[in-house]
Amino acid sequence: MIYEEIGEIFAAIIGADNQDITPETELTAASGVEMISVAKLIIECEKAYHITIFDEDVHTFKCIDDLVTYVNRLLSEGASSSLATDQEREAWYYT
Amino acid sequence: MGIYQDELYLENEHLKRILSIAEEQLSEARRDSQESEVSILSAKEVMREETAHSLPSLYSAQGFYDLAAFSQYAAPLTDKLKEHETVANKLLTLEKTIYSPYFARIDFKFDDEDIFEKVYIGHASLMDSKSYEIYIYDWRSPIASMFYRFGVGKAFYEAPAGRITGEVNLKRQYEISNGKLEYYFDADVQIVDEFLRRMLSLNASPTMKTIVETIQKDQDIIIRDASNDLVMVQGAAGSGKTSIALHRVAYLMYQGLAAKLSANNIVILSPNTLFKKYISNVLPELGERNVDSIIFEDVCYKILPHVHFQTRNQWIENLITCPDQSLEIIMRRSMEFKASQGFTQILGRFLHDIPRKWLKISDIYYNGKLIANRQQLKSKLLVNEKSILLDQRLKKIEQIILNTVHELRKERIKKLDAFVLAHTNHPFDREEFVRLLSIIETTVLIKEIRKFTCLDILALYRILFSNKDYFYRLAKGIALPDCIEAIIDLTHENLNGDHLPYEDALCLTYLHLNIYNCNDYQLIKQVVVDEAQDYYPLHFEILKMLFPKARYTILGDINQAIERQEDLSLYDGISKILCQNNSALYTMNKSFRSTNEILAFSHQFILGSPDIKSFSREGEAPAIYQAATALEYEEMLTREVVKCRRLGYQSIGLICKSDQDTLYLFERLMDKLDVKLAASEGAMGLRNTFIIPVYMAKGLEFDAVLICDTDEKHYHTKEDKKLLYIACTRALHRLNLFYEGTISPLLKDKEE
Repeated sequence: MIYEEIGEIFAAIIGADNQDITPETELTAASGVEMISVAKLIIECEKAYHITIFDEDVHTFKCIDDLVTYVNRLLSEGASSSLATDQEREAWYYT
Repeated sequence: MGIYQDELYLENEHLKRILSIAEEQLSEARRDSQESEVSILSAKEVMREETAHSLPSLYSAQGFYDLAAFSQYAAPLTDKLKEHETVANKLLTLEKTIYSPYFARIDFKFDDEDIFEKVYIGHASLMDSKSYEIYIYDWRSPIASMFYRFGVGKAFYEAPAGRITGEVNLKRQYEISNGKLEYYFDADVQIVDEFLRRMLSLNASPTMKTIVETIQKDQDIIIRDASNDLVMVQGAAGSGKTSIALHRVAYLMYQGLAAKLSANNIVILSPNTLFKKYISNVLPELGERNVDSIIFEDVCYKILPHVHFQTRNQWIENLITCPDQSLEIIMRRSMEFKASQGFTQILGRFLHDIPRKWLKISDIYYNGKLIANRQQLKSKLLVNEKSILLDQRLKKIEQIILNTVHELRKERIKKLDAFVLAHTNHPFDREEFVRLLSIIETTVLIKEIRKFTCLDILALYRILFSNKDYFYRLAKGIALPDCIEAIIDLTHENLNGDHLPYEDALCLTYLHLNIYNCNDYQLIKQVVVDEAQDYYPLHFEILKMLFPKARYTILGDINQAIERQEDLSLYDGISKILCQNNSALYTMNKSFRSTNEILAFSHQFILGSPDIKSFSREGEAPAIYQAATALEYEEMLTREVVKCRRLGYQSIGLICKSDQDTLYLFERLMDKLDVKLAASEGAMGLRNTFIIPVYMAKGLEFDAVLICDTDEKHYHTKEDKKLLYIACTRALHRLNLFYEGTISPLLKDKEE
């Protein structure tokens, strides 16, 4: 289910059809994905699952499936971010 | 004769009773099996109905739920299948029991009792499921050991509760096939020679046979040695080492039933995949399945998945086909040196140097500040050096740096945010752009850190051979071979190619195991190493690291070392490296495979006077044939093969020196004869005519052997002499040598 949700998020970001996103859909500049879209995707995932995705790990997400695995791992470790709500999140970034 | 008739009647009655019991159990097991089949079918049916609609989309985007549902139906099915497998195994065992339920009987009287009890011994036990009365004892059970160890008279066996003593007054052996008692005879000594001789005169079978009926006393001692952690066997060619090893595995597993020693806890290291196939039959015959049989290279592949390297067979092939003699010597010395304990010591010193000298640890900056100082990182890295592997310490260091980065992240984001606010000439959302900048710079940062926290072992190993001064500094006090300069140069060259030599792959494996954790084989409790003379000290160092909790059975023959001269110190070396508390070295010098004549002929190729006895069995003396022309040579070989077939020999081996030679010979003979090439990984049942290189024939046997190309070009060095020894000792019944041109100097005096 995480896979479907993330797929939907990404489809919305790049303006594609849900159907066109598969676990193998690449997230690299070489495959024509803009870096800003990846940044967007990361922010949206953090918001959706209340987790923190570390910037140093982002370059390891070669395709959607890598990100799904990462998110799943964080969730199963119960490592939800200390920033549980959107307000807290925004407070963290902008205050 | 009246007594014999009476006894025969009784034995037949007993057999009938046993068979009816076994048949009853069989039909019961069949019922169970059918029931479980029905329930498997219905479970499959349910699964199909419930999940069929989702199958096409299982791996597509929407498949996740379907996959979950699918596995929900699949799990109980897996359980049922496992159950079914157990029943199927029982069925198989019972079917075999009905075919031939037992092969021996001893009448034994316990010291404190008055009557002799009949103990029947078979491949598998047969027990009454309700009364637990034992009708047939498994050959591995403690009480059965008396059959192998004692003649008529006082006897004892080691039971779990201690030694049980008593008296044997009858030892009887049976030949039962297809549920019919063919004959029986009584013997008051250990396994009668006649019986053994009959078994040995049979042809070689496509796969190795069990020898449960004919295990000899000294063999039995090795099979049942449970007190030593390291059991080593020096066994002459044809002495049955491998057979003993496999029976020992079966015995250990039987012993281990209580201690939960399952098949997965045993691993057998065999010399090549061909051999693996050859022995594959024995353990299931003995009632044991799924023992892992691997070749040493499998271990290296697993540890170095991205490195291409040579196998031992390829290395040997290169060695014996090398046209340049000085290069051949360097290749040989390179292997000897790199796999020696001296070089292991050098590698140890190198490993010590890696964190001190060869890691490019740098200062780490984040948010314009120095967050990790090079010197401090280095000293942190050296903490707990003895107890924690380098890779784990590096990961820890990386985590420490990243923790600091995470702490400073908020501050950094603020700074980036201010920067983005000040520069508005971009089309992006502010938060997203800030995050993008952060991701980009953190990616650069992590790559900077990983330059020293992720190791490239091959690159490190190259350092050793690209800097001679450094190499000699590390090697201080360690004996080096004369041609060390040439070895270093050759290695330097090889390491820049894309196909590593065998010995360097071993060194890399060793380094890898000293840097990274490897838990793949933690559960292995028993390791069996066959053809130990093919292994060097480094191999055993690697085994020791891979199987830290294992006990070892090691079998070898110093006379069959191909590329070097070995003596009994091989075993001292092994026991020193594996440093097990209790070790024992057994010698098996009775050859059961070949006829007297073949054995005597083969002895001329061993240095010194070998102490190898034959199990007297007579045959034709080997002969050496010369052909004047190529055509005559081919005809000679063809004629000999045809003759062997006429004599009823089913497995015939044409043994050549190298793989190249086998290819050449195959092309010459393929139109004249039905021959097969025993290509390195090819399938083969040995009931056929094969062309095979010597080093691959190792451990195998053929009814008749033709050694080809025994001319002066092919066989002239002292290493070639060993190849001839190995080739000769492959033959059971018939051996002949063929050449064209000038005879090999190694055979000269033999010809007259």
